[in-house]
Amino acid sequence: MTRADRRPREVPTASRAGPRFTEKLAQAHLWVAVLAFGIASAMALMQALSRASLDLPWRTAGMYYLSVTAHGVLMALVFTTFFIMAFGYVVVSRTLSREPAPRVLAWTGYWLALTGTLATTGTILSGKASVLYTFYPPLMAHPLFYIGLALVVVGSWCWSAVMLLSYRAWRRANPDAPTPLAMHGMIATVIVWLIATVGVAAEDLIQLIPWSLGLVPTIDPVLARMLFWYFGHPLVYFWLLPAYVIWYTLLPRVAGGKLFSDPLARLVFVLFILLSAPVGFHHQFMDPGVSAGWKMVHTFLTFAILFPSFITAFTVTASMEVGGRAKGATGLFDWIAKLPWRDPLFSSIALSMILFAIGGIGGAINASFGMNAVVHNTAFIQGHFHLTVGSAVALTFMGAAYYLLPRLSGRELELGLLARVQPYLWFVGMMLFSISNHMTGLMGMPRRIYDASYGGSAAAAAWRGLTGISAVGGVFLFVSAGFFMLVMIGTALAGRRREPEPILWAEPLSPEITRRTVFDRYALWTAIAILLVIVAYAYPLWAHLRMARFGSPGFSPF
Amino acid sequence: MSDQPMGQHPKGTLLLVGLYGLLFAASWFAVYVFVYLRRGGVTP
Repeated sequence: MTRADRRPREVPTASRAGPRFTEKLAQAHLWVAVLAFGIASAMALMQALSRASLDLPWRTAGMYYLSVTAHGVLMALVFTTFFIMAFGYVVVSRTLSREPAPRVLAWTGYWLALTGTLATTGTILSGKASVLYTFYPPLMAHPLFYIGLALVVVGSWCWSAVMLLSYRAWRRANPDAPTPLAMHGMIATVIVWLIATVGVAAEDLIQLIPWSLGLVPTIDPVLARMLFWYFGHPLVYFWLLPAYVIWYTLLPRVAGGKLFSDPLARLVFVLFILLSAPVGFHHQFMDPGVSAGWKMVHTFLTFAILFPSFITAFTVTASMEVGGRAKGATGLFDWIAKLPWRDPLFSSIALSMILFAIGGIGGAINASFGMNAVVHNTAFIQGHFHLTVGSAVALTFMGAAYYLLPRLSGRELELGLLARVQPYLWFVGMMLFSISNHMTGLMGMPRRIYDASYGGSAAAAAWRGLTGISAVGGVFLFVSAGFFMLVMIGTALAGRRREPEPILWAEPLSPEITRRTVFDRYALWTAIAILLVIVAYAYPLWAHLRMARFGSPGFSPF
Repeated sequence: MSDQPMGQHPKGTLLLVGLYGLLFAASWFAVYVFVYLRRGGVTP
């Protein structure tokens, strides 16, 4: 087999006879993601204005918590998961040169996840599940909320199976070829997801569903939180890894350069397989029921997982520098000006990286065992995760949607000016929103309160101006989200039909990996990851289960 | 597009990453000293 044979080949993306299977499947997922994003964005505006104490029509605590739940679930669980599933199918099709298979399983996963999404969203919007996206018991939701979430997870497992089966079929035909980098990243995503969802599936099926159906009278909230955060932090990497795939495999090409180091990129994804899961206790530093020693172990592991993100920051920025220098830059920083800042994919990613870099600083503060006490459950936390999932992930996915939709639908991107402006509006809005929330958090303002004025107390007056800045940021973000929706819907309805352009993956600068390497030994990495999970969780879980435990009945305040 | 200009050392990136590292450490210590220690640590 020659080197050229081993390289992933481009396959035709559409034909006059109608969309191919992958295009249809990926677009079905993409549109669920886009619609969920649109609803969630409307909810977000209301929250930002409410926290600035603006007396909006229908503003009540009940409506606020309904909207926070809808925003969190639709944005963090539905938008992300459906986009990632869509992108995964595109990666299979375009890097392995084969359709995702088995098709029945792929569609089964889609319909299960969609049915679950509708059930969960229905219970939230009807006011029967204002339990926030973390659904901590003893807050109790309607059983359909939990059953719907279970269906979303099962649907995502079908997707995971299709991804792995498609890879296995390709591997049998290409025993010595290196896994294409984009597929390597998506396999890492699947492995992280499968390990992580064991926790939420156990919480949902063993605790929440029987409890919400009245089959058991009480629930153990400490155990539920332990299981949730076992899932909840690797969930962050389930969001982040596909964004990194886009940064590593699409951005360098769009920037006019090459990927600075292919092996470093592969190493990053392997490190995420290993280190994503055994870190959940850093969300529970203030919780009883987990010993300080185990929290410290998770602190060290959390700092360890900063390392692959630092490698990513270096490699992707160096790839951009490569692009700028290829266009003639010779100075220290003049390559930055030569980058394609008017390209919405490029600007989305570059701006999301800047926001993510700021978010990384806050993340180190969150992860510090002692310092966590000054930011825990404050507005600092929402300021932080809007820079990570709300920027590094969401803004990258929006930029990628501009890139992918024309290539999947065979329609030209409509309203290109809005697409060019939208990432900058998001950047400005997110800076205003997140920086002000970091500051108010350090001043002690709690998160998840619908009225930050506390009835006019002196302490609350100190952060009043900053909540106003946060609200202005929310307006920018809402307008930006509106532009994104207009571009997507405009492209689908009115985009001029044309032969779709191919998806062009970045080539590595050097060295190019031409044979299968240790990075492709996914069974080994998965086994080590599971071992680390056992080391980090087995004893604390066992210690908790052997204690005298007290259950709680359910509460539904709204 | 030749590989020659691409293969240069990414000195701009190294400087940016270095500056970010300084900002990262300075910000962490600023919160540690001016917020955490000023309020009094949570441990005895």
